[in-house]
Amino acid sequence: MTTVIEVPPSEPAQVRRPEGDAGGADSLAEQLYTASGRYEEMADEAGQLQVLGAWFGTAYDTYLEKSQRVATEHDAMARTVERVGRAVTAYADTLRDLTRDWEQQVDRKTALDGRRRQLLADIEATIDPSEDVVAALRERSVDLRADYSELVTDHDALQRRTRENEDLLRQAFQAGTSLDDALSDDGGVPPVAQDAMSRPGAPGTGASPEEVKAWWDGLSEAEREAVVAAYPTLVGSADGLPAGARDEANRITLDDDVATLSSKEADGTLSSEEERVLDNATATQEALADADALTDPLTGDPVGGTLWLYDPAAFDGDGRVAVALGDLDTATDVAVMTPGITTEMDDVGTYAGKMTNLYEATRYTGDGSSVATMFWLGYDAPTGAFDGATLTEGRAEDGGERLADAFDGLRASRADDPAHLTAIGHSYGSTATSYAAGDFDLAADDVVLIGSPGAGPADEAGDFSVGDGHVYVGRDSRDAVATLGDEGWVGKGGLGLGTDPSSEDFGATRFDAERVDRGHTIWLGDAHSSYLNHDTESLYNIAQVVDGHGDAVNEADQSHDPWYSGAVDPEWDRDPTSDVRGESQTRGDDVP
Amino acid sequence: MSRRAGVASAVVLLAVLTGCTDESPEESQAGLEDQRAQVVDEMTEALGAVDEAGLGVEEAAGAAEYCNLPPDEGATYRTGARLEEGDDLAAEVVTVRDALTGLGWEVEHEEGGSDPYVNLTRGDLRAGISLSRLEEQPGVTFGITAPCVSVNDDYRLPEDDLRVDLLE
Repeated sequence: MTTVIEVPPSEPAQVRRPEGDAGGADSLAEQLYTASGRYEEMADEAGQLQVLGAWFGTAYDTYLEKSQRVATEHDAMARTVERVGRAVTAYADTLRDLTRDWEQQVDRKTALDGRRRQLLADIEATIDPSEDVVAALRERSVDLRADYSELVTDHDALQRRTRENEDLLRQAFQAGTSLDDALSDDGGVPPVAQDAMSRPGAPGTGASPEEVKAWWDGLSEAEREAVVAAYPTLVGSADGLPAGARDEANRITLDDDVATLSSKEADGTLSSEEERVLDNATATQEALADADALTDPLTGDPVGGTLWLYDPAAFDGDGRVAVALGDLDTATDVAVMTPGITTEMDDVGTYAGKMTNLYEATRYTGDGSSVATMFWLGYDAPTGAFDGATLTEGRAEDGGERLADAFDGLRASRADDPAHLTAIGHSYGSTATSYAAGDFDLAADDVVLIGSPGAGPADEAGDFSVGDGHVYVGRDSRDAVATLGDEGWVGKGGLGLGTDPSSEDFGATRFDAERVDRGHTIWLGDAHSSYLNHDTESLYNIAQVVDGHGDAVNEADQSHDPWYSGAVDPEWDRDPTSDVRGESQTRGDDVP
Repeated sequence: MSRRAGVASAVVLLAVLTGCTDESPEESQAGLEDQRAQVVDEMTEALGAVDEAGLGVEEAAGAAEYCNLPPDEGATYRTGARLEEGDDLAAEVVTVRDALTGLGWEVEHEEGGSDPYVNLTRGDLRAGISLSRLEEQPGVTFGITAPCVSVNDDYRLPEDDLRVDLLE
């Protein structure tokens, strides 16, 4: 008789070291403190030079006023630069803590791998074991699995804290650029907000989304308002907070950016970096205005927009942003869409338009449940075909981890009222989504991949956190990008970014996604870019999944790769439809 | 039909991902304005035919909207009209259909029953006739939509979305 003992895999595959140079940060902090000291000296000097003895009259009064201003402004700048210096010091200290945690995790992984090797050896050496021996081996395996799982959780937390540490440092630099802020008392932060932010679970402390939510729940209304007003960038990106709070905070920052930078633009003092930030901010403002103006296709009521993430200077000015339609805090069905390469923050208007389509389609074809749809650009998408990052999966992996964090935040913000969550990835964004679901335990209910060049780390739908019954794939047979994934026993020599998720081997549910105006070759046309267009098969089917009725999609035959020829796509010859009820009709003929 | 991916696909991919159109943003705007003129002309003609058929129009308008996703961004122009609420909506759908076919539109798909609708085409334009799902605004609606056209990566729809009130 054969006895099976399942030995858990070694995970995480790699314990990633937090990037950064604590020593270099210390040196920078030192320089900032020195600069602060010089500002302070200048302030003192200007103060001392106010008493000049026998000088009276209008000219002296003007001199006094000007020198007093110089003293005040330099004193304020001294404090601001010192504050930034302290932020750099804190960054360095945290980085050292993180590095220590990393070293401990490396040691834990080494120890666990040793236990795993020993267990495998013991199993190998066991012949005709008694029931007790089998039970003991199984117990060791169960314990090992639990310990690996704990390490994975801790590793995820380490990566999240690392990103937060970096974000905090960047925000400290950004907050240190305004003389107006520097001149205000305490940098403009009232004691009630400072007190709230000093409590356990506050954003920016490395707290988990659940802890951040608990911290928020413990604040009074006045404290919440003070925190939002005083720390808008921190609150606006804090996973675990209600979407309404993040939206309020992000709109404050957005309005401030547009006002400040527009003024500088008018003065002719806008730097090239600020020009990009202003462009991102303006595009976001326009997209948000469109979102706020949207009305529900069934009730005619305002849908409401949400600025869930706003970070216009991130990734060297490419920016991070997430705009939603509908109420993320209460909607029954919530969809989050991750875009692909070439997407930058100033594309937010186009994508918000796509999320409008998805919102309308889900409501129009759905069961009447409330809906929210969000465009999420929280990762650094490769800039184009000639960006080296396009040909590798590094950005997708990083994006997947960030996406999983975002979902954890959405989940934690509604722990008592969980939404049906769908993750949608387009193009390279589908690979990022695959990493999220394959490697980072994405807390979604359903996953939809469209126009995918490959499913990254997943060989089959069952590798996804949602389970193989909840993975849906849309592939237009003429979409060149979607032909790149590996298929069949030969593969494509690494041309794409993993397995073609529409293939038979992958085992996902493929849905109809053809277009009536498709061409005769895979030479694109709209094949890669129209999956979310109204009155298409693709949008109809995606809406079914988002609405929680994945079993209602119109299934397409999967592509396959017989040994005697190249890959075969059964959808190539099927007659597609547009605007046909139950197949591709996604909205009415209402007045726009 | 079978397709073997290979180097050709990589070349195609590069072409797909390196951009969609050589047009400037200004040319994209001009192209969309041309499309608006064409669709508004067609819709104005259709509204006239519907009026001649004895049906009153409650409201009618047109606006541009984004269609394709990056990296092949696109925009299109769409119009829609809502008829004054009548007693026999199914009969009104048929009347509008006949008015449009009388202008040269061809029926592509049609379904009757309690929730009827008709899809029509004329050249590369598409038209639809259906019942409004808006709870507060029942009645027959119909619209004409242009195909999605590529626009420059930097092009953004103007704040008013090129909106036109067709009853003014």
